[in-house]
Amino acid sequence: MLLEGKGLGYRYDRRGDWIFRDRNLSVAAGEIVGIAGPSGCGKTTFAKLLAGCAIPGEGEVLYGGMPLAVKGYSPVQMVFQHPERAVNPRWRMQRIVAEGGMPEPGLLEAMGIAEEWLGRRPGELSGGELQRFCIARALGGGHKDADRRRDDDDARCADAGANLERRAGNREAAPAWPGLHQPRAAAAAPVVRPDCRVGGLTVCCLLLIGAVVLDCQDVVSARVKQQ
Amino acid sequence: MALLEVEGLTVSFRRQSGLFRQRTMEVIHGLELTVDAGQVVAVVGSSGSGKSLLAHAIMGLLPDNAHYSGSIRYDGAPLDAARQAALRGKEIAIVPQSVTYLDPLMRVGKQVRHAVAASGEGGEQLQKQVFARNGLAEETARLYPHELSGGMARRVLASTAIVSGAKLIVADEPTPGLNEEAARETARQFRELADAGCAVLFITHDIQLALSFADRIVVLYAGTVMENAAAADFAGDGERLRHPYTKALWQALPGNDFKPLGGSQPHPDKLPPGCLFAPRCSHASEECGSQRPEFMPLRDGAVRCFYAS
Ligand SMILES: Nc1ncnc2c1ncn2[C@@H]1O[C@H](COP(=O)(O)OP(=O)(O)OP(=O)(O)O)[C@@H](O)[C@H]1O
Ligand code: SF4
Ligand SMILES: [Mg+2]
Repeated sequence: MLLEGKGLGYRYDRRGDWIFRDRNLSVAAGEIVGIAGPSGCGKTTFAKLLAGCAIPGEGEVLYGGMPLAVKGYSPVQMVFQHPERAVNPRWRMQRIVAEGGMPEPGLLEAMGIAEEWLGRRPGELSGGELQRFCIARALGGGHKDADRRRDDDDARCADAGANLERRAGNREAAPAWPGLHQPRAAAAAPVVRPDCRVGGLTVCCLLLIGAVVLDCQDVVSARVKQQ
Repeated sequence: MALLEVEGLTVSFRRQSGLFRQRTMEVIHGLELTVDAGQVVAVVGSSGSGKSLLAHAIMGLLPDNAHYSGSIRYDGAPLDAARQAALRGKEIAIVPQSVTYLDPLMRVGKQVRHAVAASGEGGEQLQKQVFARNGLAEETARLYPHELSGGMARRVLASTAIVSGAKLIVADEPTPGLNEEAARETARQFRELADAGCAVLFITHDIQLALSFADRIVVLYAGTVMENAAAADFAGDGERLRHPYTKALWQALPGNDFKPLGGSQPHPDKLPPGCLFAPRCSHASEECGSQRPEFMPLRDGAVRCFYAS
């Protein structure tokens, strides 16, 4: 099993209520798993645990049978629901995408990323354009080169609320799926795993190929599936 | 009379290219639309087509390196920078696409109550009502933005505009990340606001959602409007639709042929010389490759195509 979550539980406050407990999930290489549930039930949190972006309150995450490393480049990459919260607003796209290791030639083009955008900052892209970069970063060469150490985890895990500072010049952006105008239509049917219940519900974000956790409602296009 | 009138809107960005050279890139070209009081006008178009920039131009939120020309009128008078600043959050409100617009240091209930205060009414009651209506638990009011899930943040942003009492609301993709029922509920509330006399400009990727409650559909492509149609024109084989791109969008929907359109939208740096849609259009002629069609009224709507009938 490539990725396994065992008995996972999480609460944001050490004495607060559990958001969920005793959740299990396993993803084999080549498999796509969907997790669904109503807004606020814990899909993103669950995905963050699997990607090593948050530490489980109980239970463990195994990657290839070994505990998932919390430091350094994670072999499990996450694509966040809101790309604007998952990038450092002051960096240029060149640097942001390189965080995931140099993407293979052709990937940027396949994602519909224009070369000219590499010199821009996140606020200078549309929401969908920014999300394409986040996907390219997650699919980047890094996961084939898992020793590579990342010195800056927080940009990626910014979502966790670490960035309370009000960012100057915040602009727009979105979880729009690139080029996908009819999300429901183009959605690849996720493999629904009834054994994975978060907040008492079935299936959310999407676990892709055991290496990338996509957190978008607008599931996935065939192009990305092939990566 | 239209409450919002946008005419010949053009937006471009100056960028440093090399040490001494500046380059201008035009991302919105000659864009036209109007929204009447009582109307929901949906703007649909793919990623990068200029939807958010349109919203920001109306609200006066374009970044400093953006340059715009053309006319934006609100309630019969030009909506210039001073007026935008004076009316923003009061008479005109935006639901921003980015959740980073929420103030990270203020509890979200208070943010929504502040929006109410802008229109001068008692806040707490309205905030509670709008949260209940949007499926946000009462405790949510005490949370900070980073404590919200993605879908909750969207609903808080929409709530802010809903209680604002604004007469013109521009909602920039308020529904992604919401499940179908929640998205429909959001749409219903904007419909009710319009029925009560607001003008609503609703930006979305979701054509089906737009068709379920909007009066008019404005189709954006590569920075300009290709077609302005009544929602009712989207029916049957799309024979009432005016533009090949709109027809292709309609045919790509699951209930119809589900036929995807090949190719992709041109980058603003590499716009084709003629019709912006020509490289993907199966009806393109030689003229289409060299001349850019004007936006012309047609059958109670408007279209940018030489051969529309
Ligand atoms: N600050 C900026 N500087 C330069 N170009 C920009 C800037 N902001 C946006 N653009 C460009 O303008 C075009 C339109 O962007 P806009 O954000 O309006 O798209 P959109 O239709 O809202 O897309 P999405 O559906 O992805 O949100 C894009 O090509 C984008 O790269
Ligand atoms: S003007 Fe020509 S290329 Fe453009 S949409 Fe019409 S037929 Fe197609
Ligand atoms: Mg946008």
